[in-house]
Amino acid sequence: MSTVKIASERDRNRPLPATARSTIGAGAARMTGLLMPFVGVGALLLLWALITTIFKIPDYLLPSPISVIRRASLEWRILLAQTSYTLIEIVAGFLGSLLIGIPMAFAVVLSRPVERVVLPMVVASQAIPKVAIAPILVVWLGFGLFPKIVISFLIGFFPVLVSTITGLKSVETEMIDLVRSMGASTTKIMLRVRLPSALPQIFSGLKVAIALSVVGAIVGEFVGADRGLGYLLLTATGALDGTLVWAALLVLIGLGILLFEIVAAVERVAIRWHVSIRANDQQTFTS
Amino acid sequence: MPDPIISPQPIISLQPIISLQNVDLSYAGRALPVRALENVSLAAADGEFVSVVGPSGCGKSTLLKIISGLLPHSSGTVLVNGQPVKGPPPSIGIVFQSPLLMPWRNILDNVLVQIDMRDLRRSDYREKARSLLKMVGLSAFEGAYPYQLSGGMQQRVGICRALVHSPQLLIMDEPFGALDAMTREQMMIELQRIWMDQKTTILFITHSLSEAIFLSDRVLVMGPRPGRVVGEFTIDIPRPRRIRDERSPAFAEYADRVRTCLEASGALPAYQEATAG
Repeated sequence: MSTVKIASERDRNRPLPATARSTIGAGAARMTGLLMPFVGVGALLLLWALITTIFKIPDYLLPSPISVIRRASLEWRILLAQTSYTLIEIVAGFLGSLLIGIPMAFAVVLSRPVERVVLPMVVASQAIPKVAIAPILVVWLGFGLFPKIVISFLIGFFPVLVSTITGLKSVETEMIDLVRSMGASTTKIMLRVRLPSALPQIFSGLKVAIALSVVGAIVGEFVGADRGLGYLLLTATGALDGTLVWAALLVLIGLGILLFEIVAAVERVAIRWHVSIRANDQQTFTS
Repeated sequence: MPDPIISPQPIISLQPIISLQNVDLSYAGRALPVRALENVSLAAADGEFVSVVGPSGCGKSTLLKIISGLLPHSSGTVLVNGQPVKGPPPSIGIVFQSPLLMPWRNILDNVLVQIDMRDLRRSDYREKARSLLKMVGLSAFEGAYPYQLSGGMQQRVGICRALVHSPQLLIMDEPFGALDAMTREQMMIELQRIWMDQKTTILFITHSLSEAIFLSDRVLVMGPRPGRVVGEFTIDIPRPRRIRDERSPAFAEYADRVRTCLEASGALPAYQEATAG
């Protein structure tokens, strides 16, 4: 017993590991950590510029990054307007995956009939290539934003559903026994035990979903649209306008990364207790 | 002024906290029904420390689940605090082999899980939770997260969580099974102190004879399938007991008798069989 006392007294005077990280060394390490991706992108752009210059590649095949950036700065109004449409489609499709995928996973986990009836249908629906049904959706739903949102949702919601189901189901039976012995109701166990322990899996599903939602919106625009980044890509390619194609592509890549990072940032706040987040912390701490 | 109503106090104190009579449990097996428990009868008085020892698969954990209302029994009567068990009784706390802390809750909130799940008011129990954490030497860690604690510390938090609502019965299912030998001894000393301090009835399930004898007032021995009580030993060693008492003649005598009982039930191979085979 005395050894326990000594340990607790010593630890009272010493900050806990989590709070001990805000030293100057760790701050500098964090900065380098943030800069690293940009170094990689810079190197890639440099290589790209060198290749286009050395091999004298024509603009309609692969323009140099300098001319792409110059073009993007000239056409920023058009790019911005088209981006806003596509962004709405992506975000709406993603929110749809989240708001339908997660409750559906709850229903599947709570009810065996739902699992038996609904899940096979959902799986079957995933076997259909979305590109194949995109034209039908446009015929059904028209040329507006809605069919793009639907396609984006159809692609994005499956990973959310599957990972949420896995997360909700992977709680130790002893943990369930423990809270049941405390008289907790099924609802309470669902919301206060299963849901929080499923969050790491839910977030990995959401990260896949946000990336796929971008794909879904662009596929929707390819099939039938008069606006959006996908439409811009299609018309510019048709016109052999290489610099505009690549300007639109760069914007799309940036948009994809930004959206993914937003989800990842929410994840870091929501599950800071999880080992995947702590492992990242450790990396910035030691490097 | 004399009290016109006779106080029910003495009656309650005479009543056993746990009382099992002729409890059977069988469930449908592949071909024939499997009997997990057969004719199990036991009782634990208020404030008593009772251990159940037996080989793995003898139905110790099944017994725990029946008493804590997590599993229905086939026949017989199960009373906790005089009430037939139909679901989890309100006045129990359980400690499992794994600490089962919720990684998203800090230590204090993990102790208060008991309160949240029971729909009780947190503010009424926060002080109790803090004093329990203090008792096990974890005051400095109430804001820490489970991953920052060692296995023994996590199990202490689990014990605090089981005690925070002041249950009359604490059920422990091999609580020190996953701990290293030294932490285990430390925890045995600590559990004895907690029990002497809190006056809670404890039903302690283990496969360690030394844990059972060291901690208990009474040791029940269970035989292999179908699970049944094959022996009962009252441990008459003065308290507080010390780890070094394990080497005392009295302790060795008890261990010997419990081991003989396990051998007779077929749970442990007898000496002759071991040499002959």
